[in-house]
Amino acid sequence: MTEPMVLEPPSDAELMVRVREGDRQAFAELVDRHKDAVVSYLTRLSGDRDRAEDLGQETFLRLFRAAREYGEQGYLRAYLFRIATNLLRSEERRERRWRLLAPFLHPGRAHDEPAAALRLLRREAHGQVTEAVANLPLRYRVPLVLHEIEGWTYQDIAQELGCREGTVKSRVHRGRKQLKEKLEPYWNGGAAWKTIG
Amino acid sequence: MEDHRIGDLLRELPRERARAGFTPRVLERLDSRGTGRPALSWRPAAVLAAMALAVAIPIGIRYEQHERSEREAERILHELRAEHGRLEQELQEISEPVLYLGGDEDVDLVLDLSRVPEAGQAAPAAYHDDKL
Repeated sequence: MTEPMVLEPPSDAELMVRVREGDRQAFAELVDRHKDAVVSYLTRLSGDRDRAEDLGQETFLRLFRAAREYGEQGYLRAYLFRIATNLLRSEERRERRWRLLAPFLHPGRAHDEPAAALRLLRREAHGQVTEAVANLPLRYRVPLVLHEIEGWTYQDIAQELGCREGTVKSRVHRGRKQLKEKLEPYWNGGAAWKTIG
Repeated sequence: MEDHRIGDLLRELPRERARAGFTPRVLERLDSRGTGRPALSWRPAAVLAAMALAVAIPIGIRYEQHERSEREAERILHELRAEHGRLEQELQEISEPVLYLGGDEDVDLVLDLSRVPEAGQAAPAAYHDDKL
C-alpha cells in the first residue's frame, strides 16, 4: 500500500506568481500566512493595536497592487515589513503635520484578586515598554524591533534598509540606549515612575 | 539596568495576532478599490473640508467687516448732512445784516440793522437842536 502523498504547501514565490495573474485565492493564502507577523511588527512599531490592524490590511493591499513589480528574492516577509514600515513612516509624517499624537497601548486593569496582581504588574511593564518603543525615532525603532523582537541579523537588516551593517549596529545601540534612559527610572523606582491607564 | 535587560524586555512583549476576519476584510477593501468604487477615505475629504473652511471663513469675515464699514460711513455722512442742513437754516434765519459794535467776554453788542428805522425817520447823531 502506497503512502498518501503529502502535498507541500506552495511557497511564497509560487503564490506570488499566481497573485500576479490575479489569483485571489493565492493572495488570500499569502495574507493568512503572514498576517500575524505583519500585525505584530506594526504593533511593536506603532504602539497601537488598532492602527496596526489597519496598516496591516493596507500593507497587503499594496502587495497585491505591486505584485507585477515584485521580484522574488526569497524573502517575502522582508518585503512586507518594508511596505509596512513605509506606510507607518508616511502616516507619522502626516500626523506631525497635523499635530496629532499617536495613541499608546493601555493595558486593561485586572480585577483585584491576589492571583491577578502578577498579571497586572506584567501588563503594566509591557505597557511601559511598548510606549517607550513607540516614542523612539523611527530610524532607531525599526532596526531595534527587527533585531531584538523579530530576530533579524544585522546583515539582513542592513540589506533591507539599504545601509551598512555598521550603521544598523549603531542605530540598534542608540535605540537601546534611549530605551534604557526612558525605562530605568520606572524600573528602579525613580521620580519619573508613572502608571498608565 | 543592564544592557541585555532591554533586549529581554523587548522579547518578553507578547506577540500580537491579527484579529478574526482580517483576511476577508483585506479582500473586501481590495474589491471596493478594484471595482471602480474607490474606498472613500475620510482623510482627503477632511483635508478638502478644512481647506474650504480656511478660505471661506476669512472671506466671510472680510465681507462682514466691509459691510460694517459701509454702514458706518453712511451713518457719518447722514450726520454731516443733517448738521449742514441745520447750519444752512441758521444762516437763512440771519437774513438781514448785523453790525458788531463790540463787547466783552460777557456781552456782545450787536446792531440789528433790520430794526433800524429808515434814514429819513432817524435824526443823524450829529444834529443839534438850534433851540438849545
